[in-house]
Amino acid sequence: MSKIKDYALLALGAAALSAGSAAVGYLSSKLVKRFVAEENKPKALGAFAIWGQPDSGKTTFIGLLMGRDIYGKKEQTLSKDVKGRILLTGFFDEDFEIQELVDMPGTKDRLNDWLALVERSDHVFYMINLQRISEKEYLRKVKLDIDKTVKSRSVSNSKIRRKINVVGTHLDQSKWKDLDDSHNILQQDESLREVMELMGDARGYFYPANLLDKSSSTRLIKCVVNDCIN
Amino acid sequence: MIVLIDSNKPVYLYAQELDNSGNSICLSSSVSGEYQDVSASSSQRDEILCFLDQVQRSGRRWWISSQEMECITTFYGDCLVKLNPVTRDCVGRVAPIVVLFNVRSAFRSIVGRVLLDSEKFTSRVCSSEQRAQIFRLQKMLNFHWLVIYFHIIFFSRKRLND
Repeated sequence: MSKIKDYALLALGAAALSAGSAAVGYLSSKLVKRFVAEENKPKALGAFAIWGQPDSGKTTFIGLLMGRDIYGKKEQTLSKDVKGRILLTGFFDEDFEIQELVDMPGTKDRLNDWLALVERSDHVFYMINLQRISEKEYLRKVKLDIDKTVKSRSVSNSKIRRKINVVGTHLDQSKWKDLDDSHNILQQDESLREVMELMGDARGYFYPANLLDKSSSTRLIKCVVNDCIN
Repeated sequence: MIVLIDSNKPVYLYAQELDNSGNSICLSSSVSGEYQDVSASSSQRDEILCFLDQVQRSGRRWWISSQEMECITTFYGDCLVKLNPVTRDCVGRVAPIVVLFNVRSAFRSIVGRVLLDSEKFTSRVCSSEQRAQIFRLQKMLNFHWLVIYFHIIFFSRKRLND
């Protein structure tokens, strides 16, 4: 009787041991998977706010960030479109993720939407059409937008004051299209200097680009990502 | 902010200016052939834009849509009709016109007229196919709102938003 008892206890012990090992094995594999997933998780860049006057390249820039075909039919943007969790791959050794991107029209009636977006976004990008920067009326509107954006920041309750980055588009159609080191020369332009000076301590980076040129747009995105993570 | 256009609200017409000046045209109409301008700084304009965004974001493509004219509806009966006229903006982009209304509204009877009049207010020209689609839409909207509503329920599909 005692022998049967011993064998039963032995069997129970073996069963418990194997169940325990299975449980440990299962939990370990779960932990490893979680660790690997964390390691491979794209790095979060935060939410982007993008705006500018009509035909400044907002939708094209957003299309580039989303990996869309930007060479199709161009259309005026009529409504606000919120995109979440955009994966950026192939620009660096690791992947990045933009938490939120909002595409909306550059019309005057969207200014309040823009100011609200600036308030809650991590990175702010104002788009300027370099082809039109010398036009008096266009420059006046851009300066008005920047002025309102800067003022809105200064009365914001947020402790973090976002810098306003400027993306200069249509470089290939501007007066700087043939220049090699267009970046530095651009910043000496009187109209652009007026815009940048208006920003005061809100001034961020300046990115000139031809969004329809692959190397130019890739360079732009790399610079943007680099500046976001540093 | 959820905005519903109820049966008392007029039909709205919205489009951006072709000169890319940042201005936009926004008119309301509750009497056939008569239009009132909706100021850019008014709260009514904000409501209209909110409605536009909402329907674009979550609306369903109605069967009556075609290549010439897109109709997006919600189960509340809110409707957005988007036309891409032949006319392009000053840099060659497609320059759509949008008309907003609710199918329960008595003013749905003037939607066709508003769409046709949109050409003169927005300086755009629609194609003959688009004008034919407008007449087809108005025929549908002339039915009792319950008929239209059930049609929307059975003949609208979720849109593939990329």
